[in-house]
Amino acid sequence: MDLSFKALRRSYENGKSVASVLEPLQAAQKENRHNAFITLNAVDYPDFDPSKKLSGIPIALKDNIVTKGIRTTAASKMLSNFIPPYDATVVTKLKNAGALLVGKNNLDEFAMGSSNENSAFGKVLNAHDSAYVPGGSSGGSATAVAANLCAAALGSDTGGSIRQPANYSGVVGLKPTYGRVSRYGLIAFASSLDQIGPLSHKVEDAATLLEVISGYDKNDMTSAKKEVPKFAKFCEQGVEGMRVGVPQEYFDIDVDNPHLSKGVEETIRASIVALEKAGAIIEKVSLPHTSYAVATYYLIATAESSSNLSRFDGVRFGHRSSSAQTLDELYQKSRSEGFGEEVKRRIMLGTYVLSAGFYDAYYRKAQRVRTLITRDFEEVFQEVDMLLTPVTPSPAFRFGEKSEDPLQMYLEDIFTISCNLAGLPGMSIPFGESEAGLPIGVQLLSPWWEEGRLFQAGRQLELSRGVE
Amino acid sequence: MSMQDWEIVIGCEVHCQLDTQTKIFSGAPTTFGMEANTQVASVDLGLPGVLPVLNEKVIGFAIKAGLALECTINQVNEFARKNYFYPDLPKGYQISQAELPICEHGKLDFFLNGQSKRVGITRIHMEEDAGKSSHLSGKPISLVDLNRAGTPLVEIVSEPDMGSADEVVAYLKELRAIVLYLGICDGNMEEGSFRCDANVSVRKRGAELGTRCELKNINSFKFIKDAINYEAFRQVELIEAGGLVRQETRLYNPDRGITFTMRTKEEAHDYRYFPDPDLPSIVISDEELEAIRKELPELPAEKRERYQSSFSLSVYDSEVLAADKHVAQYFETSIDAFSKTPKITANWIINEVLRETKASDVGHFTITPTRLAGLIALLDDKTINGKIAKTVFEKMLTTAASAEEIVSAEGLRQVSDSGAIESVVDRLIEENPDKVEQYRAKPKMLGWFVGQVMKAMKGKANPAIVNDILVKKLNEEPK
Amino acid sequence: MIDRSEVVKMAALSKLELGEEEIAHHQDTLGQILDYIKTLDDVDTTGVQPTIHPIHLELLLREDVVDGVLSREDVLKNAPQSQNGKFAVPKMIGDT
Repeated sequence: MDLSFKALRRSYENGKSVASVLEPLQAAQKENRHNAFITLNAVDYPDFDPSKKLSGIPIALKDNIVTKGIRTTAASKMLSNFIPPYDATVVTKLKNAGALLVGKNNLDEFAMGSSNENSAFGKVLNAHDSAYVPGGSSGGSATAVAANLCAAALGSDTGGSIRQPANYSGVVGLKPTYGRVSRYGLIAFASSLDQIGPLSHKVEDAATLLEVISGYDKNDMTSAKKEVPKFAKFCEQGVEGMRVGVPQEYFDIDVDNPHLSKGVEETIRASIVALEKAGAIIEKVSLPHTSYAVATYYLIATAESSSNLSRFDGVRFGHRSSSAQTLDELYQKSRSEGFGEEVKRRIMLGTYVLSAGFYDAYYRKAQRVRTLITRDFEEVFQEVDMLLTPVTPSPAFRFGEKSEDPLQMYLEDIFTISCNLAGLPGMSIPFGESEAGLPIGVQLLSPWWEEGRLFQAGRQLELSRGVE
Repeated sequence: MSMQDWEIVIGCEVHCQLDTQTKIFSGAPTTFGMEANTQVASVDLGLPGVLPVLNEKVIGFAIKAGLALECTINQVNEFARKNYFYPDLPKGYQISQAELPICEHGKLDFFLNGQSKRVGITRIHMEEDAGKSSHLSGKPISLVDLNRAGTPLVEIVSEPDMGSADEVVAYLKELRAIVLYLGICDGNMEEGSFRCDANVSVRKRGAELGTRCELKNINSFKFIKDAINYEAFRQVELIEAGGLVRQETRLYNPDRGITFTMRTKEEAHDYRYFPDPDLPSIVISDEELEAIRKELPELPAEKRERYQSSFSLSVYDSEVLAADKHVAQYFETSIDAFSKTPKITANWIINEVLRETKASDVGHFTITPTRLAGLIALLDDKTINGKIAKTVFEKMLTTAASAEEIVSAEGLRQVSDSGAIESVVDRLIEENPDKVEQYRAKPKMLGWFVGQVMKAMKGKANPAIVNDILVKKLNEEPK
Repeated sequence: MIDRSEVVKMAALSKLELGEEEIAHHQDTLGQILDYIKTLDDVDTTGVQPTIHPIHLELLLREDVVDGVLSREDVLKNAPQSQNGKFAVPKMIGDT
């Protein structure tokens, strides 16, 4: 079944009932073959309402997005029984637009991971080949879309957590400009990097979904008072005369960094050709501080997360150890039992870099390098309208391949991380395939608030592959 | 041992709860004394996914405090997270300010025993209050109520410029008066709206600063004084016995009059402050700052000075009147209604009004400032004398009538008619020849005659005239 | 490289209880990561302002009006232990 928004709408307009669309999906969701869902929502089947943008559209939510009265776990034992008393702003917006919220997607615990191997609810399987990781941390969301279990999903992206699993799973994944979408109700990983964004079958669906979830929110002081454009319109505009930069540092990576795989390199070349054919002008550009992005990111993200995750203490909500006698034991045992290894590692790292004597050398230093990374983009966007880059150095890897070596896992994020540090919008679009038959995407990055350009170019890439 | 050889060095950290309707980062009310956990929004509970949204009132209130204490206002400042675990701290961090507080480098001048004293203000920062915990009696369990969590605070940090418990109390009283004048804090110490932590150390006169102990959360001026005196004594005694003061946080037990260890430095935290990524930097424009400056009321120091220069009041009187904004307002309204004798008005307020009502309630006192002015006008134009004025004042407490009405209705007008007074005096001399005899030998007996005349005339006689006539008649040669 | 004692200290500050094996493992992985992070020492950041927020944020404040109060039931709903309408924890110091 074609689960693009347009196709679903057409079916409804032709008299198909919401139930007839949803029932087979629900059966597959229940089967949960890829472990993409942690919790399924009870949905009733409303009548199609043509006045609502997402009427009857089945959408899944990464399970770090809070839903009133529906268990929200962040894939952590810590929150395995947590029932929030409120809805995230994006959830309210989706409900108002008529969307059907079908369930909560698996993820890496607290969105910390690149492979979805760090979930207290078990790993998620890649929809294309179950020996491979789906990517992370929005692995459940990417798989739910890729396996056709929903029309689209919302994920969160702190260092590539939407774009990377979209890339590994062959779906469209968009990280909006920081401040475009309210974070209210997103269980925070790193507050200055997190953004909620869509994963979808088609570029246009990502645009439509972004239109619905965007906008200033009085509950989030980091959301921006910016007008929300009609994003879907950009899909029709083409790329004639658009200047597209290709950052050389993303290809010319040094020994510390993983090599660009052949499939990825070929996919990028093909996408360059496709955009040129559509009238874009390709230019080589430079982002000189690229190689410092991973170090900068892991300092800032872990520092913020160590503090964000302090509220999980077993007092007001969440897991509480049954063997604690003293207050200190209550904290230590509850947190040690409730958090997985990767979460603990990041909390410890973040605590370390903020602690007395290290703050300036680590955290403060990283914030300064962050300024330099941002400046690189400011300068490059004087020359070009957008950037085209790989999403990851290589396509999806096998389970267990990197899980023993956290640093190697972190280095996989090299191409997606700068975008979060600078607060830029970025999108991953499926464009090629590896020798093993796994999907490979390309990444488009645009200046702040110019998500429209991503939809322009993204749609052209789809068209060049014959996607309707 | 002798305390004479020692100097006490004290600095204060004062937490003022700001007088807002809602919390600093949520819309939950800040009402005191409500049922546990009923004044809590999801932000105060620190639920996963919630974000702080700053209350519009807080920045302006903090700036007012800063301007009143002559601070530099940092027009760009930021919130920071102070990270530590405690059950009354829902997020595992307190949103406070660290490197860039809103106000810095101020000072406060005040009087103690007629001497002027200056204390430096290191900084003022905005932060959120924690919840409250209590112990469940008979069980190894503490209970946490989050009603107070997220109440807006400014913390006012002083330099270690105070040398005695009396100075600390005078400083705190002046500071409390100021925040009340500014209308940013209700100053209620029992409810914890105005709380003081004191850092106390001792040293031999002229020596290096000693190790300090922090006395936490003391909730009355008396306890502050007692706690500091006890603590200084404890430290001196310890050092003189060859011991060392340990840097630690101590609590005061008012029942036993002692301080005791709450936690030692070894358990001290590494707070890992960093700028809060959930909150934008605070940017204050020149225009906003000027607008707030214009809103500042006249403060106690300015009032004291004006009372002395414009009304010729004594230092003491102006201090008493200016110490509480309600009293000052009462005084000024009285003066507006009758301006001829400010010194007399001041005396009446200090001696009579403040005997009948608490300073903070003077605004609701049944004898309004205008009614008092009416009484003082009658006194000034000699319609009544001082003694009758007190009677009238008493009657005014229980009726709504003006002083004038009471005087008329009860015939309390002063008698200055010398004929009437003379006839009373004549009778008195005639009936008491023995007393007249005694007077001749002992002129102090005059007082007895004055008393008798006043008694006969129900206190209404003009005392000056009574005196004149008595002296004249008693000194006449006997007939 | 990171000392074992530092790992222990970080665990204590983070309120995490680690077994011997975990300490060794974290010492190893954290050490590697921190060594990698040292690459930042190569960047000259003299005179560069730190970035806290990736975009400029306008300061839009909340009106001082009561809104969003939870019912006591909702406040305590997810609490592992509560008593008398309050959250219950093992006894703290300083409580009387």
